[in-house]
Amino acid sequence: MKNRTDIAIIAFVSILSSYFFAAGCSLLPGYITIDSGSALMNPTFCMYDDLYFQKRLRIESITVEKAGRSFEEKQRWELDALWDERQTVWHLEYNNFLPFYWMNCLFGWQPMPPISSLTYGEVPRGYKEKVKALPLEPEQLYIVSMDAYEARSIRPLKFVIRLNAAGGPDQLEYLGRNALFYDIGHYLQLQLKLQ
Amino acid sequence: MNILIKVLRISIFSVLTLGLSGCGCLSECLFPYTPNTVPNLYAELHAEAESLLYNSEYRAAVEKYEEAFKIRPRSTKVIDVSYLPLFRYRIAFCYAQLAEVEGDISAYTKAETAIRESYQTATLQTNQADILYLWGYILFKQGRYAEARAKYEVVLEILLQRGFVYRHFEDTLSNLEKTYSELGEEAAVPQAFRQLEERLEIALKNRVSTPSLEEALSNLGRAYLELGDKTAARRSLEQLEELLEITLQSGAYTRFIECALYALAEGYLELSDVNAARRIFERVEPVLESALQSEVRVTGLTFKWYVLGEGYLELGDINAARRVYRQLLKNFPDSYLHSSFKDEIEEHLHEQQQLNEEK
Repeated sequence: MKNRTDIAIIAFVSILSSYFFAAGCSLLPGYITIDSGSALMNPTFCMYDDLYFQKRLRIESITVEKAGRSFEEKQRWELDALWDERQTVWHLEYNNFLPFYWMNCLFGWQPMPPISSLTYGEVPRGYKEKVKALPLEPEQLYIVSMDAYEARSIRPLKFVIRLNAAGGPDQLEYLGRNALFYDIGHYLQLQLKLQ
Repeated sequence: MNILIKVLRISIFSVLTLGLSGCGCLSECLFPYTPNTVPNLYAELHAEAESLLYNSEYRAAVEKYEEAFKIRPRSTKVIDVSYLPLFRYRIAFCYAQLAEVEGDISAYTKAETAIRESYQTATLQTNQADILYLWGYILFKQGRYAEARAKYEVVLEILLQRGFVYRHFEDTLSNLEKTYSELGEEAAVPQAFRQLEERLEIALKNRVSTPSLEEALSNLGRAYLELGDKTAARRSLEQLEELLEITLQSGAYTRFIECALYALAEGYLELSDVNAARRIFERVEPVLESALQSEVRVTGLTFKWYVLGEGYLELGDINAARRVYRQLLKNFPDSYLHSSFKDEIEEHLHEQQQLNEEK
């Protein structure tokens, strides 16, 4: 009888521990977008846990990189351009206290990052700027990657700030939902092969 | 002793119970967070349409898409450039499938209207290629082969400009081949290939290697292999090797070069040229070493070491595979790939032993 109780306790503890570990450490895909009300030279980035941008996630880190090119011919950057190199122009991280990390993995006790949107160059309380933000340049291609508390961006977002005829910033073009199309589109395109 | 065990049990339960609270209630009480979730009719309609599309319920899907399209969010300053063209693309796709599945020929007209609108709003070449690919399909299905051929040829032209970097490269060639065939122009496919090759040779003369040019030659080689033209495939692969040599001689690590080298080695393996494949695999190792030292962030480096090991295993070179495995262990001690790599090496060794015993 005593043995049975011990086995039951061990099984119960094992199941619960696995659950806690999984609850604390599993990551889901996240999707990045730019807030439509953003300032053009200082865009605001958000990350969502769904393809239709309904539930925002709490951002843990963000990296903005500038695409470089070795091609001799300089062309206007397009969002689907191919690039050779990247230079990190901004990197921000939530100040993670190591013991909290382990507590999170075991019991999900970590205080979660409070911010669900980040504006380029701004450092909210609790975050640390690992690479200081360089000013964004118009007509350059930038690549944004983000991690959230509960998710990791599955594809980076790319953007270019376009100039108007007078040389001022006119529009911010980005490629985000294309990530959504990439998966669905691939499935659709496969059905278009002629037999 | 019994008391001690009881205390220990109670402690474990207490910690776990508190942990449970930490996962849910406690952490939420201490660090409250309200997700930015607002009821959004547009998002609901869009999500429903996507789900219906996946389930091949095209008529219901297109109705939801059209409804969502009318109430879509609009912004004039911050713009997702592929949103509009790809939305119309989905509508066109649904109509095209409706026409095919239900035999409703009038749906082709609606599909054409939607795909034309989609193309008119597309600014990115990658989107244009996807849209034209569907447009070609819609025209082909209506028996308008000459018009379909024109669309597929534009896709091919875009591929050429982008160095064939397109995920449906082979399917496009296949569709084009079928269109030529319907028009009684079977010889046109190799001719199109030759034209592409000539344009690549012009680029080669400039002796400037770029990742896109390398991928172009790699894709062309693969396409020739699929057509069964081994001579032309070898020609493309040798051109690629020449091009990669230019890049390798520069000394600095260049992004994607290892991918081009893998593709080349795989191509040689398909041609059963083991020596050439080995020669190329041996060039990959120093490239990966320099990538480790490089300041450029290289994605998937662990996996690239793993693939190199797999390449050696494919060649039957166990010693080289083991050397790469040791490098993987040393450079990426936390990688999840160790165990599967080790299993593959052991499996390969076992197979070789069996072969030796049979001999």
